[in-house]
Amino acid sequence: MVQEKPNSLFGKIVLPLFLFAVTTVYLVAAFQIKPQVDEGIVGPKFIPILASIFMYIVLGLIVRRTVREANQEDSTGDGLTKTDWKGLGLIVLSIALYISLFKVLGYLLGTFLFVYCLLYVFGLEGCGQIKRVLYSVAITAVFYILFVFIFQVRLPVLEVLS
Amino acid sequence: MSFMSQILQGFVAIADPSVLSYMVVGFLIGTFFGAVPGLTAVLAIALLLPLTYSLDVIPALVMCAAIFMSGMYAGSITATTINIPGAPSSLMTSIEGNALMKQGKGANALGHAALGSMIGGVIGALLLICFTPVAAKLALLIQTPGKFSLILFALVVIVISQRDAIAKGSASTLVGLMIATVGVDIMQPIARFNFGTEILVEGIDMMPLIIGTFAISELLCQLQEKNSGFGSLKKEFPKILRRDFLPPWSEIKEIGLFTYIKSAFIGYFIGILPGAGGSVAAFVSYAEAMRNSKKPELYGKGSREGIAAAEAANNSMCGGAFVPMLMFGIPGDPTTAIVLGVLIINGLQPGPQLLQKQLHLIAPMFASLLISALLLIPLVLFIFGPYFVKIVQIRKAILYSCIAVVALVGSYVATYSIFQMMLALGFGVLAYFLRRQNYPTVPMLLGYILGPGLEQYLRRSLFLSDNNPMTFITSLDSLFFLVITVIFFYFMVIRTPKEKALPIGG
Repeated sequence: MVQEKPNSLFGKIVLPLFLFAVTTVYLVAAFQIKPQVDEGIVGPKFIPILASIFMYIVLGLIVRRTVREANQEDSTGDGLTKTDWKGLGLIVLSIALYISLFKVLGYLLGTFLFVYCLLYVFGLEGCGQIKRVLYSVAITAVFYILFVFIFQVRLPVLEVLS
Repeated sequence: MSFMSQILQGFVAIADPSVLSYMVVGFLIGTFFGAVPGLTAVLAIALLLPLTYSLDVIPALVMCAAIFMSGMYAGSITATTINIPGAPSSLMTSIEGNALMKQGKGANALGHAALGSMIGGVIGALLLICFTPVAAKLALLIQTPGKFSLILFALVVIVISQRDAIAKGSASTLVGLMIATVGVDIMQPIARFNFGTEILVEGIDMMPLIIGTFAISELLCQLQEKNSGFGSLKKEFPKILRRDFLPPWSEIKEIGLFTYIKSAFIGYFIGILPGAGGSVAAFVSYAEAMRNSKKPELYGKGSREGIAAAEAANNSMCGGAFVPMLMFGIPGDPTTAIVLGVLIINGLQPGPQLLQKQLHLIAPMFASLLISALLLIPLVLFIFGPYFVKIVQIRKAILYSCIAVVALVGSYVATYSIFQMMLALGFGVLAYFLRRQNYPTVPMLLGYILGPGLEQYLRRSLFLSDNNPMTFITSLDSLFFLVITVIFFYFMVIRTPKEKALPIGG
């Protein structure tokens, strides 16, 4: 499991800030809920509002602790690792494209391209283009057999063919 | 039909060749996932979850139980051979097992780990079978306010068991709870948090949350470590012979039957606690064995007793974790949380009624736990043991490409919805960033699972008592759970125990 730390105070509080923004949107939406039956104080809004309040408190505690720890790390010069943003972006983009084009390209072509891309992103070492293509074909075929023949699932085919 | 005869029918059910093959395949998958550092039984069951849509309920549950048991045991393999625990619950085993490995006694350590796992797993499964009817009777006594307090207790324990990350664990739990509130309200026919869209009215399915949190986030995390970890381990390991796996009787006698049994009981009862899991079970049991050991000086240098205690406890935990999940719908750990998903997908509702009306579907799962521990652990060690060290030589790029395909195609197969697949990606990215900043992600799943129950029982209790919150105090079952919540909070947060120094990292 990854236990790395992002490399700046900003990097560390981006997530709490994101959760703060999401909680705010959530809380505003919670206030807009209109119950059909009056249940008293504890209606459909109650738990969402309570959860939002708790979230604000918890995020406040997290930010306070993060700032305190960051000050201590500045003085000790803690060595921190960086995120591989390029790799992360590539993999998220390839997953998003794979999902979006899954029905259009079909399982076979879509999965082949996706696996080829993943092998590239994960840096399959000591391996030329032909081997990478062969691995992609093999992985695509193995899971095709698994899903279609063993689990008897209908997978999408290339739109032109269908 | 009586309870015991239905349990026996469960054993008959897994004798069916197709069900048996699912159990064996599940066990091998669990062994593989448990043995590879970074992969866990939780991930294996998460990947299996979408496939259960195309499986019958019995094979699906039998497979889940086998994965659970084997994943817990298999963590000891790389813990011993390369000092990297395949699963978090094998941390204590890595200390003692790898020390023995360095002395050229790796096979012996693996043998003791398997024996401990076998005894612990069997005792855990037997206790599960024996105590489930008792738990079912107790569950019938709990009324609506009590159910609210029980879920509150579970959520509090899940959060406070995060120790160093209670605030982050709370945030994770609250995120899960918020996700669970999307969709139609649990008591009134109104949509909440759908933001004017129709697609969110039905709520957010558990499947994309599980696939995203456990599979996609793992993929993204592993990307950051692509040039490190087990993929780069190409060193030669000494040859392991099958006969060396069998622990000598003198060593077993030295460990003592009492150590195995005590550790198994510790593991089982820790398993019942929500959120505690195999790591806590192994840690507590190991510490207890060290405290009472005749040779405490061996701990950290290759204590077979330490291996036996830790492994017996974490495998026994498997049985314990099923009790609150089956009787109250409260998962003891992330694996049972996903098994709960399998139950729900197949239309089974946890609770005492499950034992009365659908025991024939659950009994094969109990049998699978027992058979996996009793027969498959020693059998798999004997057959595949000499090749275990080669697991670490698998290329990460190929392994994670396969996981990505299973996760994404699996999430499509489960829902035939591109939106659900996109949700899985979204949750995966969120879980990745949570993990990067050391937020535990398991509480997010447990918050999602327990949130609706918490809300439902709170609102029902207050509705039935004319909005009088004293109902939670005047109802004895509720009061009981509130009191033990306070007790747990006191002992785990306010008065934290001073552990005797353990040889972690030594």
